[in-house]
Amino acid sequence: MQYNSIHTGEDIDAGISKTQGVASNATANATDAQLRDRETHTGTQPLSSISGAAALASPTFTGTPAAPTAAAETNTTQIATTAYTRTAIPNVLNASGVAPMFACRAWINFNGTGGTVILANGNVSSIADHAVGDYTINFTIKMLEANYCITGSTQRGTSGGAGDFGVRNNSITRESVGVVTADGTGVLEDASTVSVAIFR
Amino acid sequence: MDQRIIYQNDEGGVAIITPCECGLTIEQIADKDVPTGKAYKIVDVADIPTDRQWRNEWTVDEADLTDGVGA
Repeated sequence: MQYNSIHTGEDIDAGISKTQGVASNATANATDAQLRDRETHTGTQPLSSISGAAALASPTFTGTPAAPTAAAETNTTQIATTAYTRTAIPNVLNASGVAPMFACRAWINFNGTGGTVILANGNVSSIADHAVGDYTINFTIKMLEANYCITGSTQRGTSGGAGDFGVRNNSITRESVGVVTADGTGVLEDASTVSVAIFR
Repeated sequence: MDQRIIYQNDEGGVAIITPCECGLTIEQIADKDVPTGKAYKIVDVADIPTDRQWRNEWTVDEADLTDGVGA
């Protein structure tokens, strides 16, 4: 013989509480498969409750995330992969071939006549004018070490032959370099345009 | 910048520093670019002569270099 259990008033109240807010006949015609199907669900689900999901806004990926490699010369908000940048950077710099590229770490263009006038520069904090045709170029951010390459040129701004550009003896340091400009015969003179670039 | 930094160089002449727009103040540039231990003064560019015919003979009284010392 089987007996049905007897529900108390508390059991019934608890059951009613569970069904409050559920629309009438909300699941009346749904099969069990439909009820389990996530695509039939409505409302929202917190991202934190989904294992392994990342937010669309400012996600921080871990591991080795990958993305499709953009076509050459793409200029959009598309993600740039390492494969893309390996070819894009030389292309932007018009650097064909496979020879390595090295960077200019500081440069300056100044007028040394009538008092030093700095025309343009990069990573230079100041120029010290010591005497006619004798300058020190001070770097804003110092070099890694002092074995860098110094290249320069002058435009005399006066009639006569080509000017000279040189590096002052014992003046190359991580923080600065001394340069001199001359008149083509070794006599120091101020030049109207002095251009210096530091490569490393 | 309309100012210059002057100090006495090792030969007894005057070194004139022209600062660049590099994100540093002229005081920071002076501390960084004036040789260590050299007294300096910050002056208006108008105080620097533009006639450089006798540039190598310019001198400065070290007692006037009162704005700081190169770091």
